[in-house]
Amino acid sequence: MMTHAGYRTSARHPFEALKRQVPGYFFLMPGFLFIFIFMVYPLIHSFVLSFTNYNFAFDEKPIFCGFNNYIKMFSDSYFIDALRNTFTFSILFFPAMMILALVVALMLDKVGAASPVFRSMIFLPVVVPLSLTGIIFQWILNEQYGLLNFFLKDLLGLGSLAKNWLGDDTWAMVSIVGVSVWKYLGMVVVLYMAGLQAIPKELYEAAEVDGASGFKRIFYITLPNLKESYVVCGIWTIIQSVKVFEQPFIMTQGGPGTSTLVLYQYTYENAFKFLEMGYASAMAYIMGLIILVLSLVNLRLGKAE
Amino acid sequence: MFILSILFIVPFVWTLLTSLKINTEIYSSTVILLPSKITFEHYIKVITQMKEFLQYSYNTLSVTFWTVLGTAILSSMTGYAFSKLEFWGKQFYLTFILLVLTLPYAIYLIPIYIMEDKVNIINTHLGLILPYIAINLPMSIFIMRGNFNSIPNGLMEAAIIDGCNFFQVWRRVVMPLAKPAVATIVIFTFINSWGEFMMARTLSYNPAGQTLAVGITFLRDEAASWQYGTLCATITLSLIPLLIVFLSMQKYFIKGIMEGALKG
Amino acid sequence: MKKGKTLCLVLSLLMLVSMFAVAGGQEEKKATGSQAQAVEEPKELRLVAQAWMLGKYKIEEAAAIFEKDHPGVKVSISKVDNADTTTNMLQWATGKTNSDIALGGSREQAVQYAAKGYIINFDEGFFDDKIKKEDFFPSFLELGNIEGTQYMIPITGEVMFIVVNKSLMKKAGLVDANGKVLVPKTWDELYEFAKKTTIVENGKTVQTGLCIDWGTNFMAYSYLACLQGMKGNFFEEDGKTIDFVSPEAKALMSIWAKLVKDGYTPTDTFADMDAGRTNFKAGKVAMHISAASRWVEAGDLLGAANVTVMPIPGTDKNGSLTYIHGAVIPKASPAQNLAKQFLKERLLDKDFHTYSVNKYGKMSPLNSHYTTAIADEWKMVIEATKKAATTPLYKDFARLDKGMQVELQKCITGRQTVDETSINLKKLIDSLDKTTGLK
Repeated sequence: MMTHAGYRTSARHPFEALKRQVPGYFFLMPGFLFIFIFMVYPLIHSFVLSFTNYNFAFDEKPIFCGFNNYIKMFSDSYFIDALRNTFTFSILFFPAMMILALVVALMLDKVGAASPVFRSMIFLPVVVPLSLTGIIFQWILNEQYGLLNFFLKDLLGLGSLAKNWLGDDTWAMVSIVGVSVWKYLGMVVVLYMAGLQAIPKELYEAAEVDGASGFKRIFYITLPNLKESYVVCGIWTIIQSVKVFEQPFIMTQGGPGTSTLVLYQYTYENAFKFLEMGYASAMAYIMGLIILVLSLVNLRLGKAE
Repeated sequence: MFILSILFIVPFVWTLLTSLKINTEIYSSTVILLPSKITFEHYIKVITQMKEFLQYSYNTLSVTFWTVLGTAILSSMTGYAFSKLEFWGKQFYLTFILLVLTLPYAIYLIPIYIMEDKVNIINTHLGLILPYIAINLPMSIFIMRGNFNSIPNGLMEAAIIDGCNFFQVWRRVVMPLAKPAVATIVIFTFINSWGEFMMARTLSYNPAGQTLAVGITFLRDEAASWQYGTLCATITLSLIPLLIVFLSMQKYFIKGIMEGALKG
Repeated sequence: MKKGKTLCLVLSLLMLVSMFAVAGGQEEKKATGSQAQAVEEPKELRLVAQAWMLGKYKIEEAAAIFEKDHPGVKVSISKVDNADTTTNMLQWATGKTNSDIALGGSREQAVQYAAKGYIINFDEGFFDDKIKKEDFFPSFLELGNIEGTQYMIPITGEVMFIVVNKSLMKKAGLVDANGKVLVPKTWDELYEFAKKTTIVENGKTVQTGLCIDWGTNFMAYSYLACLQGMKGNFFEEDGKTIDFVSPEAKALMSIWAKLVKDGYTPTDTFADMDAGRTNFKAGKVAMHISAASRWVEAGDLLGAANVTVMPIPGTDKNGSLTYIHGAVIPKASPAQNLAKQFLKERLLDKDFHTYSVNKYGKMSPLNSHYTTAIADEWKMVIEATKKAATTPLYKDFARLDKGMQVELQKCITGRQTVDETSINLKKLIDSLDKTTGLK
């Protein structure tokens, strides 16, 4: 990849090397500095806190306790539950999103004229805050008075499919995944579509001349060229999965029991309900670590192909 | 396709219908789909109760506007740097940004409050704009970077040969091709800022600084009696500005895509 | 496109200007330090109330009256979310405050503020000839007293009861010769009542017998109130540790699980903490264990003659559980005297409370306000309140609360046995700091 300065690499002049950094830093610095200034204090603050015991209300100062918080986590049964639930959610949510969104994006690409209408309809859930739609869903998913069971039982006669959506341990998680897909599918579809539009038309035309069928075209041209989209969609979806918070928080509050308790909610409760800032910070860093690892894997996969 | 799309808007249709029903129909034992007679009582209740509604709306509009603007500009530049330029420590910067993205925002709440308190911007628009930009930047940078990556270098080299300096290459050649991505970021940042609740609740404390997201939760608490009617009316009302912005962005989005397709 | 561009530009400029204007206008009032004699009394009283209070109390009218009585004084009201104390703590830690009086908090929240010394002590400079300690309903006032110091003045009192839909009970034949609803003396009787008032048609429950508040905010209250009724107290022998192991505690857990298993009590309240209340007001629930105030609130919709209250089994003898919402005044406030005046003159005023008592059942903290109580049931409610117990103040109560929710929900849905639940909860409470946390 040639740099902008376009000069041949010659390390003779030290200033040459410096000058070549200019474009990079010019474009990088405003954004980066913004993030840095705003986030470096919070990042350090919470990192240090994670090694202390600090009850926001009752402790005078944070008290250093080493890795205690991190160790305590793994003997905290609710933390383990939260870890497991977040993992379950991700395993269900990630493939559903990536695959469904791709399929929908491809379909929308074909539809043509009416596509903006459909796209708006699918995108609508993304735009409306979950704090509102979550409550509506609580109602729709109600076992006795909810719309969903009404459709299943009364209109379609599929009585056996009507479950206690939010009150049963397994179905609660399924419902949360369902609502999450509903909410975010539009977003990933849009991301994929941006990638789809960037594929040059010539490639398709050439394939048509060669006599390639529709499916072949998808497999050999579309999919490979969406690599960048995978990376972006992948990271976005991973983050949404591990950082899932509003859906369970609003619809089930982590219940029944701990069947839908996710990491973020447990971290949040430790911070703002129990006021254990140190412990909560440690949990947040574990969450961050998980996402970081998964994202790096995703990035690496994107580069490998 | 059609069926799928309908499925997606069913909850909204239900919300709209509910907002027009009388309470006894909303709460009947058997689900009643269509209102037998249309009533606007819920809407009236919402509007009369939300006296600070205008102030909340204005705050939200202002904060969202600046956040979107700031994020779009900064991420276009930074994403470009990561995608097309070489410089020292590139990997480090990228990892740092990724790090910010990975942590739950709840943890940032208290330190950000303390920082803002020191410069007295609590309960101001700026007090929300700055953290919002900082939060939306990482993902936006990734999206822009991804988009830039798929722009062939040949275009840029051609521009250099034609005599553009590095800034002009960005502005004249690369950016126009990135329109779909920019539109994506605009929509994405808009959504994140408009409905953002956690920070807004902590960083503002009276109508001068509170946003719609916060104001709507008050409505929920106050309307704990017979909530579904008023709640649905609230949702429907709050959908209107969202739809306006969204539909207008839609046109630009399509335009950008078509231009991109032609150029490609 | 040109017009659009100029419009955008104008709008941007407008917002830019406004942004800085607003940024400049947020001056926080710094504490002027405690002065025995304020050189100049501040003329502004900033009220911060939790959103629900504004719906249940005529606070805005009270503010208007206060402004009339004190010319030159301006009262401003802001709303906040119920959820957490963090914002206040952060503010008050720096000596600044955006409120002169904070309304609607609970006792547990007051403890957190008191632990850091952020709120004033009402024992000094509040009670006088016009408002004496004896004027208050003892259990409510006691709830605002933390380890001997009055940190919170109660504004609302609540007590746990069973709210009853009379017409549904009548339909099931659960009334006596005079048409008065029969009162279940034991949980077994209550179980039978729930069975009789649950109606299932085509596999769908169209009428629920008994609803118990098992949501986030209520699980602890429900458990403690019921246990109090069963046993006369909810502690182990040491009088400090909440009991999860006695035969009565286990019996309570069993019967809860049985009610759900047999379909007489739904688990709606797990996800939606207002589900019970909403369904009761829709006339679909016969009995509902919750705060007694729901009775008056529902009467507004179902007709006062159709609703009544009855004590949770045993609580007529042993007393029930009460809790309060009250007012605290931050030390950082420069208008403390003004705040106290507002409290005394308006928030403890008879008319102010009569409205809320009669419309929403929100109990007033002052004795004198009960002389014009209209319904008979009030006598019963007041009696139970006088004998009532209150939630103990543990430093780690929030964790216990969460644990109770989780474990009891698991027990109720049958995911774990009563014994397992009992063991888990006992383990939890043994690991907690049971002091109040105040130094």
